[in-house]
Order: sequence, then structure tokens, then C-alpha cells
Amino acid sequence: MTQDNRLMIDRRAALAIAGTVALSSHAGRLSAATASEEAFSMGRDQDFNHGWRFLRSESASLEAPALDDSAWRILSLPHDYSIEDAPGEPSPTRIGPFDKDSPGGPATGFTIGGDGWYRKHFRLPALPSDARVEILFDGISVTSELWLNGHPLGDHLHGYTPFAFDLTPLLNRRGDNVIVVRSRNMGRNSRWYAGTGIYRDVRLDIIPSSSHIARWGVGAWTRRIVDGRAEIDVTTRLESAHTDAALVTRLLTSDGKLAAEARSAAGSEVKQTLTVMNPRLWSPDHPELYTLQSKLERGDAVLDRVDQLFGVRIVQVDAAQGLRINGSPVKLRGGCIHHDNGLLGACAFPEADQRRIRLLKKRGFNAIRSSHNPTSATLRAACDRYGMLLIEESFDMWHAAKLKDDYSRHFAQDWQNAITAMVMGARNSPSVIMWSIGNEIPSRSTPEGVEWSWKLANLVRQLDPTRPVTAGLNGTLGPTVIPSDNSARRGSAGKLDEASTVFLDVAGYNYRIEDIETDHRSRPERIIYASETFARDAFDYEQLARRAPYFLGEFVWAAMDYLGEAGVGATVRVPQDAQPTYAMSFPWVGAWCGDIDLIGNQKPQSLARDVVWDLSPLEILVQRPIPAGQKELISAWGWYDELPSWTWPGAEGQNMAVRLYTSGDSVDLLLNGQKVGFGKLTSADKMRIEMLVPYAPGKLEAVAYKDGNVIGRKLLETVSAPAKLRLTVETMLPRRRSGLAYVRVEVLDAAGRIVPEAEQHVRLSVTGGAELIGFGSANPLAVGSYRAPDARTYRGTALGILRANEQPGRTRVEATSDGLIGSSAQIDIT
Amino acid sequence: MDAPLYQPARKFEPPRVLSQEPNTTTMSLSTLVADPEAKAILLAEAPAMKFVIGSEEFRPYLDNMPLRPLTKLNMVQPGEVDRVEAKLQALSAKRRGEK
Repeated sequence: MTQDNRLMIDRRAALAIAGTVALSSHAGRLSAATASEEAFSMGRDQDFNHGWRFLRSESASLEAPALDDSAWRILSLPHDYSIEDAPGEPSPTRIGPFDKDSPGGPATGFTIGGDGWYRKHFRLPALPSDARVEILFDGISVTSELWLNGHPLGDHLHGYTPFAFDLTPLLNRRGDNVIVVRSRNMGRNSRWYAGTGIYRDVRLDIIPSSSHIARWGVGAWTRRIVDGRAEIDVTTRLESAHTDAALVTRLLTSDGKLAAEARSAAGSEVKQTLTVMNPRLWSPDHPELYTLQSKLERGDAVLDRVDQLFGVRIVQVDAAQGLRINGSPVKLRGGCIHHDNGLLGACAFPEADQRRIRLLKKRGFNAIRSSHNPTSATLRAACDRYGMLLIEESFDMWHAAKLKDDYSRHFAQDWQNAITAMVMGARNSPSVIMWSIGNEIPSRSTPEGVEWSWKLANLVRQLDPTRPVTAGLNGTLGPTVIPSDNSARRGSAGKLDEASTVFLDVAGYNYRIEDIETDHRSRPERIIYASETFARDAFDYEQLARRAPYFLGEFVWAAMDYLGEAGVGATVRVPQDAQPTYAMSFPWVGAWCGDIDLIGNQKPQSLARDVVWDLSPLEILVQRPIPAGQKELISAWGWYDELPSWTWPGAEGQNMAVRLYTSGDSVDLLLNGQKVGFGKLTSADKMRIEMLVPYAPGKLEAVAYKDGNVIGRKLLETVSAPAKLRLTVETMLPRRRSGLAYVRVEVLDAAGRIVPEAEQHVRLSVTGGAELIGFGSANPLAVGSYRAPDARTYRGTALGILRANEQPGRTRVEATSDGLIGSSAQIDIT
Repeated sequence: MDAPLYQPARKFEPPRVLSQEPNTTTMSLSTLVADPEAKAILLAEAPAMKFVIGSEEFRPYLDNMPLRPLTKLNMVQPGEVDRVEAKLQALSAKRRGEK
């Protein structure tokens, strides 16, 4: 934390948390909290997420061990206090977590950051005198300072990178210890919802001081696959290793069988090769995983052990053949995502991240770009497990700011820490295929920017030379340049290039579809993918991917809705003569540009993409009627205001624009059994045809044909008024503390059909072994809390999220709504 | 099959930069407006750009953004960009002739 940052107190944030300062003063008069009774022992990866005490307060100094924190709220991590209701009384401008006067404004979805203090008391009795205790934080947003027993441990400046501290020198081995974390989110520092607090996992590693594996000390990569065997090079860094110790590295199958083993004498750096016969290869379609186990042994004793998931795979990329995984061509069907988990804010729960990846896989995505920051370990694990390729991105800016309080203030002093943490922490994940050194970086083509580009790319290659370096590039690539032999990447010395791409292995083009083939003609060796795209261009990118081997594929902005960048994907109605520009403001809080909405439902652009990506032969969407004298303005990131609905009360007799998305070459449209439209499609139609149909309630059916054969049918029905609720349990409760289960709420008519635009007030009650930690809808406007048991459905649905208690158990959920038949569901433990 | 490697380079040396003629497709707005004659053309043909190039909000993006892509965001009209481009080409021709 810089001195400048310590002194910076945002005036509005100060007002917002004034109440908690008073609470802090009160807490000081109470008796001290006692240390938790958690049992810790020698070993790595011990859960350190429970029993934290929290206070939202801008007090400058709450780190003293004797401070009485017994009145502070007790909670389990992950925790994001920006997604909790904003401080102060609710009002028309303060709704749930959203406050119109938020320092971050529309960029952060009008949420509140500020200061928060976390304290955790713990004891470590009966540890051997040689024990070394390290704490690993997977991420604290936005900046943080830490203390142990009142002594500074240090600070952390990048809100998305993991970091560890050695607690050993300051540890009280016989009595209470208290670790204190201050998180801060001040001013205008992010272009999207960042969240605030210890929003990712915390682990404790207790290992021998005298001999152990270094933090992120194991690096493994598949060097060769040939003749039914794979050769995996493993480099392990050891610290203070005994000279008579041995490093045993094993690869274990998912059912625990030994696939390969290497044993070596210990040293500061040990290089080994594992040879695996008949390896099960990892790929997006078959994400086979092994456990890479590193054991430091001395005689019969295991001094230290690190287990991590590993996939045997080789990723190759070049302009002639594009991207290949294990020799097979793969086109990237990618999406950009921000880090938040919707109603949970930034909290990185394993089940929440798994759900996001499952939702995207189901919609045909095989890749995500973690825009614009390194992922959580939980998201990466989900990508490894489900076969989602991943571009890990480090920065949204370098030395030049995008916002006055952003990371550019720390960049010059912290960039090496950030790159090192990103690469070393994730380098063994098979899902990671590229490292991105930045997104739309200001001043990247200036001489200073080009030098930063080289420094960043070169550090990545020093840490991990097994993956290409990329970046997301908007606008112009800058002037033409020629790199020298000393500074050029492999094979590029003396060749014409551009300032933004000269030190990249793979160029990411943001919104530059018209430049891709043009640039290929002048730079035929350039490997290109579209790192950000508009959803409306999905057909064109798919066609380009099919015809251009050097083009790896696209990443739509965005695959899922997120908080912040309020209304960037909005579609609005304006007078016919209005200018074609607009800016969204409060109560808009969500971006509304995702294929998938905030709670996991498909939006119209996703249904259209299903057709382009051959997941569906036919989809019907109906344009919401536009009042006379008005026109629809669609943001570049937006979509028509259309729904898969034939329920338009009040529009009787009015011509409705019905859009049919199909891979067929002709389509019939029938209303209540009568043919009301027929159309033929050519490639120029880009899989979309529009027909006008006078609205009459009933059944609207489309039939798609190809070469005279029916390839798909779709039916929309006019539904009646809301009559009942339906609860559907998406996933059961994991048998572990803090595991999540998701419950979907739907508003149905009497015939059991979802009422497509129902906005119904629903109350959830939960009894048993879990608690409700999130409840809300996909509505991109501020309409309420995400933490209350009451919420209003949007487009007929809402989502409840339950978290297992200390003793997970069978849980019952009931949904009620005035005038409707309620619903209940039982959630079992898996 | 062997996995590729992307080895680090030896040391940084600034790449040689080739000169660029003013244009609306590859030259950034910040570079364009640093040329007084080009800036005058821009503001004459697309007067609304005065707001963009003077705006604190847009400042971080000017280094990367040429004029023409701004048509996608409705910040400038295609006809205006065509006129700017034509005059910039004439300017470049004149300068080459002067040389």
C-alpha cells in the first residue's frame, strides 16, 4: 500500500461507512474474542476460511491484538461486502447493494467499496519446533494490508493475484494469534464490478522449515507425445532441502493408480521426466485429469507433499494450421467473462465457478478469456475439470491510467509480482493455453508502451516458455516497426510488424473483424484470434473461422452478464428523431451484454448463437412492439429487444416482427394452424429471416427445412396469467461446509408454462442444513437486495443460492407469492 | 509430436519505427491530432470530434483508436470520415510533393 493510498479517503465512501465507525467504537468496549478451536496440523492446503470476524469501517488502525472484536460479525470466506446491502437506509437511490452516489458509478454498477477489516483468531498448539506456517490468499479486492499479532506482514496491490506470507517469525506457538486484513476499494479504480474483501479462498500450509517445496515450486509440461507415450518434464524448486532427502514425483490416474514415477536426490532445483505409457490426453472434449504428486521424502518420513491436477496435452499454434490440441485442430468458440458470480458478487465458490463453466460448455463454448485479470483457483479448476480452454489475462492497463485511481498507480512497482503470481500459480493447469499481458492498454504503441510490452512478454516467457503470449488489441496496432535480433520473439527479427503486436506470439483483435483478412495479406505469419467481438457478428466470425486457418476463433463480449459497465448492452426506445447515442445511468447496474444472463438463462443472442454453432436447427424470437414515433437503439454490444414469446397482450392485430434463426434453407411459419409466412434463406441472410405476422393469441409454430427435409420445429404459445410457482433444485448440496446448492424459481401459468415476462414478488424460506446467501433475478436494473429472502422475478424466473452450514444436512426450501400456488423442494446432500 | 517453446529474448532494444502518413484507419487519434494540419482537417470535417479529443474520459483510448472505427460506436458518421480521409490523403500527397 502506498502512502498516497493510505491517505486517500473518498468523501462519499466516508459518509457511507460512518455508521460502522460508531459500531467499531462500541466494539472496543467489549471483551476480546477468543481463538477458534480449529485443529491445524502439519500439512498443506488446510481450510482457513472459517471463523473470521468482519467490520466495515474506515478506522485507520484496527490491527492491535488486544482490540476487542467480539461484537464484529462472524463469517466464513469467501466474502464480498460490496454485494451486501449498501450502508445507510434504503431509498430510491439506494437499493440493495446499489447506491446512485457510488464512487465507481456505472463502471462498478453503482456498488460501494470502502474499507473493511477482517480478524481471525487461531491457535497452533503442539506444532513441531521446525514447523513453518504460510498463509495463502487466492485474492483480496482491491488492495490489502495484513498484520499478524499486531506486526505488519505486508500489503498486496493487485486484487486478482494470489499471494502468501510466512507467518512463522511472528507466530505465538503457545497462545492466541490474530491475523488482521484490511481491504480497500477506493475511488474510481475499476471499469467493472470488482467486489471488495477476501473474496477468494484462504489456505494454511504447515511445512517443515528445514526442508520443503517452494511456493509454486513445481512446474510440469508435456514435452512430447509419440508412439503411445507422453514425456512430461517436471522442474521442482526445493528450499533448504536436506542433502539426504529425495524428491519423488508421481503421476496418478483419477482412480489413484500410478501412471509414472521419478525419484531424484534433493537439490535446490530438481529436473525430472515422467514417461506415461498410453496416456489419457486432456482436451476440451475429453478433459482427462491426473494428479501430479510431489513428495519430499527422508527415509520413511514424508517431509512435504504437493498434489495438483495435471492434464497431459500439447497445444500448438501457427498461422498455417491454427490451433491444435494433441495434433487435432480446434477452433476457439470463446467468450469473455468478468470474475463475478452474479448474485454472489465476486465471491469465488467452487460450485459457483463450476456452474458458470458448465453453463457455457452447454452452450458450445470451449474457451473463455478471463477479462481482464487472472482467474481464481476455483474457476481454473473448473476449466480443467470441464475442458474449458482459458486465456489468463493480467492487466487492464499498464503505466497509463484508464481511471484515476486504477492499478496504473502501482504498475511500475508491482508488475513483476503480478505477472509472477499469475504465471506461477496457474502454469500447471491444462486449460490455460495463452498468457495475456493486457487488454486495450492505453499508450501501448508509444515507445514507452512498446518497451513495457517487451518486458511483460519476456518475463512471462522466462517463467513459462511453454505457452504463447497474447494481448487484447483494440483500434489501431500502431506504426509499423522492425524488431532487432536481440529483442525479437522467435523467428520475427528483422521482419515488418506493428508496435502493438511486435512482441506477441498471438495477436488478439478486439472488434476488428474487417481487419483480420486484410492484415493477414500483409502479415501472413501473424496468428490472430478475435479477443472481443460483438454478438451480432457471430455468423461472420464462424464463417471466417472455417475459411481462415490462421484465425483461431472468437471471444464474444460477453459470454455471461456481469455487474458493472451498467447498460453497455442496453437496447432502448427513443424518439424517431433522436441522436443515435445514449448513456445509461442509475438504476441500470448490470451490463446486459451477455449471451447468458446474470442467473444463467439464455438471452436471445444465445439462442441465435445456438443456430450458428449448430446446437439448434431453429429458434423463434419475436420483437417487442415499438410504439409509433419511436425507434429502437441497440448498443453495439446489445441485441434486438426480442423474446421467445408469443404472449403480447395489447398487441392484438398489430404486425409483429418474427425473426427465425435457422440452419435450414427455407422455413414455414404457422399461426394457429394457418400458414402465415414462408421464406427461403441464402448465405446472404446469415441464418436469419424476418417475417411480419399480425398478432393473435394462440400457437405460433415454425418449421425449418433443408433440401426439402424437415430439420426443426419450434412452437411458441400464448400463456395465461401467473398461477403458481415452480422450484427446481439445480444441484444438491455438497457434503462439505460452505458448499453451494442452486434453486431455480419459475412463475407458471395454470397450464404449467413459464410466464415469459412475469415480475412476481417471491419469498423463499429455508430450513435445515443450509442458509440462503443469494436470491435475485437477472434484472439489469437495481430492484432490490441480493441477500434478502424476498425478490422479484424477471422474465419469469429468479435464482436462490444456498450455502451449507457447519453441519450440512437435508434442507427444505419453500417459495411463496401472494395469489399464487407456492412450491417447495428438498435438497439432499451429495 | 513435440510441444513448442517460446523462449525469452536476450535484451530489449527499441524496434525501428517506420514513418506513417496521416490516415483514418491505422493512425491513432492522438498521433493524428499531434499533427496540426491533420488536426485542422479533422475538426473541420468532423467538428464533434473536438469533444472526443478534449475529453478526459476518452483520453486513455486516443492512443489506440483511429477515427474510422468510431463509426461503429456512432461517435462519428461514415461520410465525415470519408471526407477527412480524402483530405488527409491530399495532405500526404502535397507533403510528398514538397519533398
